[in-house]
Amino acid sequence: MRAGSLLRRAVSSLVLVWLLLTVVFFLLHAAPGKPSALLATSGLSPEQRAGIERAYGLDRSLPEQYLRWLGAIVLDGNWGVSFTHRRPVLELLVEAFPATALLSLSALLFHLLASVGGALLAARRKGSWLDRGVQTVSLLGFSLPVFWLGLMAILVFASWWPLFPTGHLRSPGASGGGLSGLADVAWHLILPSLVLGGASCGGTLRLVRASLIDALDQDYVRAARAKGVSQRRVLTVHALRNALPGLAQVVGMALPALLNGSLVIEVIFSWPGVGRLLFEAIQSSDYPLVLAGTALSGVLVVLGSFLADLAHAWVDPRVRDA
Amino acid sequence: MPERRASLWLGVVLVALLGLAGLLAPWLAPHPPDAQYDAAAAGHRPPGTSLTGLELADGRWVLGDQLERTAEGYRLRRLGELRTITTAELAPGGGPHRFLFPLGTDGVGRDLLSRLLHGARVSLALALLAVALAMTLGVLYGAIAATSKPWLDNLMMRLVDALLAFPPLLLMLTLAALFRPSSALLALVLGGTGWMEVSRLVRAQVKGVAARELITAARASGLSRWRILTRHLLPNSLTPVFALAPLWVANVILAESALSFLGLGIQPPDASWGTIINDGQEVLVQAWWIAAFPGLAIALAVIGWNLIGEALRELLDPRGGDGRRNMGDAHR
Repeated sequence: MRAGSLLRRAVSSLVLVWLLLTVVFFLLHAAPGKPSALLATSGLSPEQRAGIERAYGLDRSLPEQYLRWLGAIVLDGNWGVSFTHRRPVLELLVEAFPATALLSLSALLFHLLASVGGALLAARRKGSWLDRGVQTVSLLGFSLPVFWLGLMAILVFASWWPLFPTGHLRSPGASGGGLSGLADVAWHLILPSLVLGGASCGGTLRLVRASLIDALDQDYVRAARAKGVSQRRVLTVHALRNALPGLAQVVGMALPALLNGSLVIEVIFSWPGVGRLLFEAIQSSDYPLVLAGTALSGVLVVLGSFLADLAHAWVDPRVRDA
Repeated sequence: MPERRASLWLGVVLVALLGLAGLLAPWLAPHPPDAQYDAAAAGHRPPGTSLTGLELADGRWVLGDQLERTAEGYRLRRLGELRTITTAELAPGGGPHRFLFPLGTDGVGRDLLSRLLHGARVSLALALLAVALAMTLGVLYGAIAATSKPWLDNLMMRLVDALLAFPPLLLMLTLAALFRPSSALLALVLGGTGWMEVSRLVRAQVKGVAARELITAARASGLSRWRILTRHLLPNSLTPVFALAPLWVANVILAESALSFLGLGIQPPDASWGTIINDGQEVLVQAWWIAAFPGLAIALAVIGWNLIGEALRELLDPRGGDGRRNMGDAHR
């Protein structure tokens, strides 16, 4: 990608982030549960209420509040203070982020392994029973509710057949560091990341399969075959290389689905990440935390799709030199 | 393609069966969905449980595993104890009655099958309502954007991009938490977060049709912008939108179930499949059936709609393109 188009892409991502934040601000102020409505029913005296409104800037006009809110975020990284935790929202989110990143990345890894592996199996012979079987499983994959899959996984693999723990990041009393600590985390990670990665891979599998089958129809594959290259090598080297650019985009698009899924999976597996933090915030009407979390995951998605475009350009010379 | 038609029909049959089950729930269900005959004795019973019960004079029921007739009345084995009930204690004409719970019971002795059948009504009706709403909003928004000045069109579509960047479940949860909608208003939340992709698709379609000669001809003959839009542009652009509707229904069923599972969707006393799974989560190990069966119901409904949607998409697009991808890329 040339510098000009890269810059254009970056600017449009920034505009997108600004729109996102604006949507979030107006959501907060359009809702019946907004702070001033909560204050009105809080039983405080008018003077106390006015004091709180002044302290939080609620007595100012809406455009002024909007500019101050946006200014605090952009200039100071100040997203406000959580009602329930009484700590800066950003601090809470940053604390919870590593657990979510660990879960999402290992889920993504499994997602890619399963979808590329399945697609290679299916594309080997289009229309064979194996192809149909893989396609049926992928249809099941995106038709099952991920939270239900999680519950059933706990029921079968943690209760009836206790191979894995039922949740949490570590065993009670286990130390954080060392090899045994790592192994403990990995043991807790397997079930949630398999469910999260597996449940979302149906769509990716179909995309990769379609682009593999597309590639197998191209002249360069026919040429490779004529040269005597084996079927396995044609698939895994020649055709897969062709399917890679699409895959980079898919990863960018899979990010919202992963964030979605990690929310319910974290709730079910008591995983101490951003999803569970936000869910608890939603339950306790902790608006600063909810809105910052919503806005930041939107920003994350925009960033993800920007990076996916960069990766796409990097693996696809047609885009890179365009 | 015979295979495609077979999966279309399989989908239609699944959807029709579940739809009928929901429509006819009051007649099909063996019990009223909220009837708690004897919460202590009938709670958390596994699938296939059959109990015998007697109606007492005050209208309550006592349910037990075994019943024997004695000289003065009945002897009932209830919760491992023998309980004697004299004829005088019974409601008038209250003879023994057999209770069958094909899929088991929940914690307060309600019949799971009856709750699932009634839940089908809630889940399916809500999904159809939400998709109708999302399609109306999306068609209007997309058509307006496509026929507006380029700068306005651009701004409108960037707003769609911004809304699509939120993880949809988080957006719905936030809306549900802020507005605390009733069960019917939940359709607004579900539909209000689902129209963006419709509008992208409609806009791309309308733009495509607008470039064709029939529109130039219509413009040349002096038709108004509104008339061109309603008479020529929309009728020629909506087929792919309707073809995708079944896939959206499938997605909305999943979204509603997730919201309800998390306690922010359908509120009691109404019950959808998602809320029943929520009930079953706490007793997953003691009473697995409460969480397991509603999940299967959701899966069947979603598979049915997905099969219809995929078959329609391929039948209407003989090139066999991937509609999901086209949907996302439509505006680029």
